[in-house]
Amino acid sequence: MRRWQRSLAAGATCVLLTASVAAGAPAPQPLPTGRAARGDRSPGRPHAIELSAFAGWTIGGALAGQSALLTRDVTGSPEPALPLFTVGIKQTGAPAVGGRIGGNLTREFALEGAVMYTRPELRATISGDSAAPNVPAFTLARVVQWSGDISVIAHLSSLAFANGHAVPFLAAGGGYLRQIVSGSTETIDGQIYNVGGGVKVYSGPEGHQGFRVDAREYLRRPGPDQDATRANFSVAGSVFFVF
Amino acid sequence: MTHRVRPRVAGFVCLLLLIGMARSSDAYLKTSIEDDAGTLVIGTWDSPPTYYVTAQGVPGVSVAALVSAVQGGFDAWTSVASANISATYGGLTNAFPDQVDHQNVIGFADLSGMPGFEDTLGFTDYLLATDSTSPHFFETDIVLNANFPWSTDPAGVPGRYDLQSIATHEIGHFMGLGHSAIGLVQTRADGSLDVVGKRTVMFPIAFTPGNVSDRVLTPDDVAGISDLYPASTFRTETGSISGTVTENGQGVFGAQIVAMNTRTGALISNFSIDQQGSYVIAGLSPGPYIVRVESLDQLDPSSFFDPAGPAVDTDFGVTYFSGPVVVPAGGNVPNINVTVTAQ
Repeated sequence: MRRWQRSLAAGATCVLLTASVAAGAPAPQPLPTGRAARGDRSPGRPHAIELSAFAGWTIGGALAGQSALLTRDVTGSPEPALPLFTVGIKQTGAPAVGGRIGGNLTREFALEGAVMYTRPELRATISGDSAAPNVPAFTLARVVQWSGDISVIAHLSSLAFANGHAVPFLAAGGGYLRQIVSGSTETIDGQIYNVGGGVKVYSGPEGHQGFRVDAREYLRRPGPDQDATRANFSVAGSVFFVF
Repeated sequence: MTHRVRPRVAGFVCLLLLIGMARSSDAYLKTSIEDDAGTLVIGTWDSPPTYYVTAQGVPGVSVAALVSAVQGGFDAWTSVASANISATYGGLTNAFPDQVDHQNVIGFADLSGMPGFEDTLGFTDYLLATDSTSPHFFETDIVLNANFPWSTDPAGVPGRYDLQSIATHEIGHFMGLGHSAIGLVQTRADGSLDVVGKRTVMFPIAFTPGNVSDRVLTPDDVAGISDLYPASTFRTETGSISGTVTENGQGVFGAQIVAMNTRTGALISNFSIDQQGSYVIAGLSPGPYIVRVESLDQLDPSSFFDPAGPAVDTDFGVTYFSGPVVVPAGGNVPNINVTVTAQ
């Protein structure tokens, strides 16, 4: 019971998770990293199932702006349109939550499905309006993002540390993205891709639970401004269980 | 010199036929009048109108070119997919294009002897029948000022006004639209106004000679004609915003509100149209919008509102609505209220 509570608490942040490992109580037993033996019940064995719930943070960034353009009163060769004002749009950072279910194909590779929910804001900044030079930035819209993707996980067992309890991994995948601009009845379907990696830390003598940290770059197409492909870096901490 | 294109307040009033001027009701400025009960009556065509073109050209414009330019102007409006309006060319006529003859006549006329219209490129007269349960246009004429140099060259001719551009503007009035104010002007030393840039065919001041840009409708024009003659899907595929413009707790009459779609950059506008400062902008594609409020301080308010109506407040600065405005398909976003401050 105490291990369980410690794992949950540690799952909140990467820093706490690391501290938990360092200060973790009994000397952990090395987890098997070699070929699975018959009757093997170790977490890294082929066909093991891993369930996890995660919480993290998606870092924001600038999106494409838009200008209110007037047609200039010119004849002959065309000139660039005349901007009445320009709007810069920035996606704010936002919390992200979700869950994953994965299955080991081998000790090195796993397939993992994930669902994720996040709700960033779009912030607008007005510029270039000579009649209103100092307009404070304001919230333009809130965007609800749901995604479901499948990733390939490559466990880097050779780089394991902490007696084999901490196993780095690489991940890459893609899937379906649904976005809804709050207040709108319109849903925008698209794709989401991710690439990144992290560390899984198995806790307990048998390593059937633990926590993991993921750092991934997500590409959303279209982005929350419904334009082009937008990239956001995301970090997340998870608690997982292996069956 | 300011060359305006505007609806005209004509001087004849019949028993059941009333002359209207562009006033506003609901979304967009529309041709409307108040009936005897004080109800605002909007002018629309209740059946596809038939128009006739005068068999009189001017230097640089043959009769055939005049007909072609007028037809091109009608085509611009009747080809709007989200609007359900058509018009039929009835042929040439020798009728004068500014008299009550139960014909919709479009043509040139010498306006040099018409006080207040000497610098006007064209104007549109209305007769609005209010004797039925569905008020409608009875007759509409468009007069083009023969004293200006004209051209119908698609590429434009320096020094000559593009006839099709001006016709397109006047045909917007013919259909029932008032003026829109999406544009910037600059004042010359003599007090006249020049267009710096604009984004609506229904701006009250024309581009300079040689400019053919007003042959093509803008999103503002498309929203206006669609709001007046909505196609079956228009109300479900677009949305609207509504609210008030106030100053010191009082409603502002005649404030210009522009909504910009942050995805497409499309600009669509309307005005606050009553003493409470209420406004509606319809025909907005779904998505987030920037809402900007501006006064008509650079333009002549009488180009937009009946001078006999409430005074237009022009003494406030540009103000943005500082909050989310996300328009849903088929819905309205209420309470987009903007408080402006006096300059």
